[in-house]
Amino acid sequence: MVDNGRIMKELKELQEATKNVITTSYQQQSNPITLQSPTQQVQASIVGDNLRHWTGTIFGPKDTCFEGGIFKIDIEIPGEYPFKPPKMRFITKIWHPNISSQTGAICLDILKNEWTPALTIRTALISLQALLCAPEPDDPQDAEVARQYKSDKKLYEYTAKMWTENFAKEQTVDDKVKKLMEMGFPEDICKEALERYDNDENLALNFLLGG
Amino acid sequence: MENNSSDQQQQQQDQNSSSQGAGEQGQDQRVTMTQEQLDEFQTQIKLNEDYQNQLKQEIEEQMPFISELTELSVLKHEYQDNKFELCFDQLATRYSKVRRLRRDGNCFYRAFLFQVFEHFIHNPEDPQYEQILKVLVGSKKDLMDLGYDEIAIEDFYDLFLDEFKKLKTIAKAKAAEHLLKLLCNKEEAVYIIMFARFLAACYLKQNAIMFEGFVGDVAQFCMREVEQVDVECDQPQIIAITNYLGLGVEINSVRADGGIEVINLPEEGYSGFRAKLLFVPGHYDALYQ
Repeated sequence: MVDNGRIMKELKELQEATKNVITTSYQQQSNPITLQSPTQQVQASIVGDNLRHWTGTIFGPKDTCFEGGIFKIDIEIPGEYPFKPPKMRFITKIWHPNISSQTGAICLDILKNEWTPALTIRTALISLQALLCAPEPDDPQDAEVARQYKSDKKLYEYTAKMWTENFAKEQTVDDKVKKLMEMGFPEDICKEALERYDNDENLALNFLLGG
Repeated sequence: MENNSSDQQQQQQDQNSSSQGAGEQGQDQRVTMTQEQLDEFQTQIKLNEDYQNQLKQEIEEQMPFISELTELSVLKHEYQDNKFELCFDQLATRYSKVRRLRRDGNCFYRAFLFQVFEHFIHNPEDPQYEQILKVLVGSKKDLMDLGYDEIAIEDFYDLFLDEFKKLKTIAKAKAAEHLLKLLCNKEEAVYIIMFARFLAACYLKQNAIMFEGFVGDVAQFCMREVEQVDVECDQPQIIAITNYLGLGVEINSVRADGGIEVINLPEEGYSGFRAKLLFVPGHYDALYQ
């Protein structure tokens, strides 16, 4: 039984969560005390027009090395869903013992043998968020990260924070301009280069270096 | 700090390039090997799963989900020269036929639902029907009160409830034909059995204190042993689903000494319908007089 109905409902729920986050952040500015942090929310949207291919978004939990990071998750929904788990992989690079630093593959029991149809993609994303709070180095996906976690926790935390900083934070155009200016290019030329390449920092830099 | 950031660079280099200095290479190999071992380990798990799936497939092909009514003597013949052979003589004093179930981890649920549904097709006026219908209608709220996502359970709930309501409209003579169709496929039958599993999980979680001495962490137990598509059913699940629905079972369990042990759940104080099941270690079939 192809169950697109359920997938549609799940998507709608997660898209509404996205709307709520926007409202919440807006309200937060005027009334910062009473409202819940939007970072507890998880979101998802569809990729192109394939109902079975989504991108999920989770926010790095507070008081972890991933705080402030926005992590994108590639989600493929198999034909046997909800009897088989959704296939999830980190698109955003992340330094975590249970997530491959190379491929983004995730080691989490509920995405494998402990998946049940009682779970949803939303609950799976929330479990990923929980995994960021509580790494399990004894059941690693990335041996190198797990080894570092166990042998040199400080270095692990430093690396994880650096990766969050470098890969999981959205930079504003101003940030990018500033970065390019630090390399010695004049402001107006940096702006022009970024504009020309749709704010792609690397392409703009290549252009500046080439030109 | 300096060390840290050079290690950080090292990490990024590892991903970007394969050409490294000799000293670094030695270290890299060690790292790669560990990762390889890890990958190897995961591949092995995958292979084991594939093998199990293949075995399952082979079993499936040998057996229908639920058989036609079969003479009990066929089972005795199959258990010839086995320690359980004599059990079937004793069983034959009370039962003459059996519907055999596919060994796919769902045999209890499928046999139980078949007999319960069959009973209500044959006895539409049984007051138990309305009692169970009431429980079923309330089950969505019960599950949601336990934290289940409405989206996750409603397809299962809707289908189960619809089919339970439909039982009253099925002609008695068509009971077996209807149920063999309803419960023997890889589509709606999977949904119906899964909802039965949710009902068992519901009772287990509602009465967690009663069960945790036997099954450990009840939420974990439900996730691993109840809500999975193909994990077979043990006594806690049977106690749970029968209690939740207010139904009974009579389990005829074969004994190594050639006897039959009759286990009634609930044990006493219950006079309603009991599904009659045969239990040989690891498997349930449905019994008929």
